Amino acid sequence: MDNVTYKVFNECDVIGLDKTTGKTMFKHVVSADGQRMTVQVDLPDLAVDLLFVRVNGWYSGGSENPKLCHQTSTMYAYHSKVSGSIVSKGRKFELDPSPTSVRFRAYGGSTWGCYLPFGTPPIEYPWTWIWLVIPNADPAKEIGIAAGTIRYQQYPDFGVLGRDFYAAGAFVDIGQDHHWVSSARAFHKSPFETYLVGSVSPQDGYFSAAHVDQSDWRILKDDYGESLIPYTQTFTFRSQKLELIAQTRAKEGEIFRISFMRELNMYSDFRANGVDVHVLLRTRHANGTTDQVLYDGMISSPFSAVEYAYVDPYPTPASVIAAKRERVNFSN
Amino acid sequence: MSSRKGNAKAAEHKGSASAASARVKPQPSSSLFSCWSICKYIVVAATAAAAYQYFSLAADQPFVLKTTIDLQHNPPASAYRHRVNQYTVAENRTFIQWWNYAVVDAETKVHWTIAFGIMTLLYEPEKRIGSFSYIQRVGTEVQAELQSKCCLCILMNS
Repeated sequence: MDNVTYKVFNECDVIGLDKTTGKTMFKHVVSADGQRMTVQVDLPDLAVDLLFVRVNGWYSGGSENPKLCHQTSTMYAYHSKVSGSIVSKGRKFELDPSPTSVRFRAYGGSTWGCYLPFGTPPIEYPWTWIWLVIPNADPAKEIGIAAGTIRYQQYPDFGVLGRDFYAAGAFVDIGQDHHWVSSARAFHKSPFETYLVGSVSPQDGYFSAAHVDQSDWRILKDDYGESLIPYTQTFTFRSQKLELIAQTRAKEGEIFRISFMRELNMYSDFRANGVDVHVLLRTRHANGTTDQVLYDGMISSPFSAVEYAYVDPYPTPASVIAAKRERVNFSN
Repeated sequence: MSSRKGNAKAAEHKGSASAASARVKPQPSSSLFSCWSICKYIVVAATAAAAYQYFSLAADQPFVLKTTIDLQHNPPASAYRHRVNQYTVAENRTFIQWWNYAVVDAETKVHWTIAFGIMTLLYEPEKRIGSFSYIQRVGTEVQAELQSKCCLCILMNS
């Protein structure tokens, strides 16, 4: 792609043009009106033209400080119905436009900022994420879930309170009944662990817990080398009124890596789609006892994705060389 | 004599200066004292408020310094835009933004994952590095894959 010129417009869209022929080499074009979002992607061997109709989405607020550039996300349409087409290597997939269909669901979101989770050893400072949709013919019973955590050894701009900074958030929608739990704490995994922020949606009473635990660590081998990855992750989020425990179990071969260079590091997003997930979702009483079970079992749909992302492999001569090459190119 | 007188005057002056300085000296501690006389109530009030909050917690409720509700459900389209131009940090930093899509067909169990990222320097947003990732899978079977490594992409805004 060295011979491609890129144009950025409408604050979001990017088109790559061949320098000599002017031919479109790739395109990422998005338009949204709050509830509906069209996404068009054109790449060699791939053409995506999708309409997302949002059921639920969220944004971590409009309070970004222009002088600090914190990491911020919008899971803009994490629970969406989707229609359109995907043409991959000449094979066309048509996605059903029927508004009542429970066959197709999609996630669409974006993250930005000047930082990514990082620490030493990097594997202990990951980005975790889970996406789940449990469709139902009755829209009032359809469940959409997105959740995740990040951890920094030292979050810039937060001073001493940025030490071992750990933030978590979960969004659970049951029909139009919206719940969220979010928290941030300092000195994570130390005797001085301190909750800096803990918030919930208005109907959820108080914040109670938000964490993700990993187990079943195995070596994953791919073109980049060998990486240690948790094949089981348990996401626990609790407010005064609602409890979510989702345990994901990836099978051998399900996890794949999406990598990108980040300054001198290679950030690897290890992900699995359609993994087995056991979901326990139940309401709670004010005294902490549980009440009505809303869902308890393996999810019956393949609408799931799970992630464990961190800097791996740790800077090696090969990755440093690649990063240096990138920097050389960058300054051209 | 005059010299003696002068010396005496000087000594007197010195003495009065020293006396004045002796009178002035307590002032800082006095002002500190007066600050503390006010501040102690603030400290006591803050401690009492924190103690009250701590002892009012339910059994499973952790102590948190701040409770906020700053999340937005179903945000406007502006939440999705490319954000590099909104930042004015003093020193240059590497800015990164990516868009992530997952699409699933429950009947055929085909999953599509599409990720598109742009990396740039805040002072030079016209110079961008981008990368696309795309993977189409059914369980452990990879049906189609594309990963454009960002070190090969030089994005120049025109």
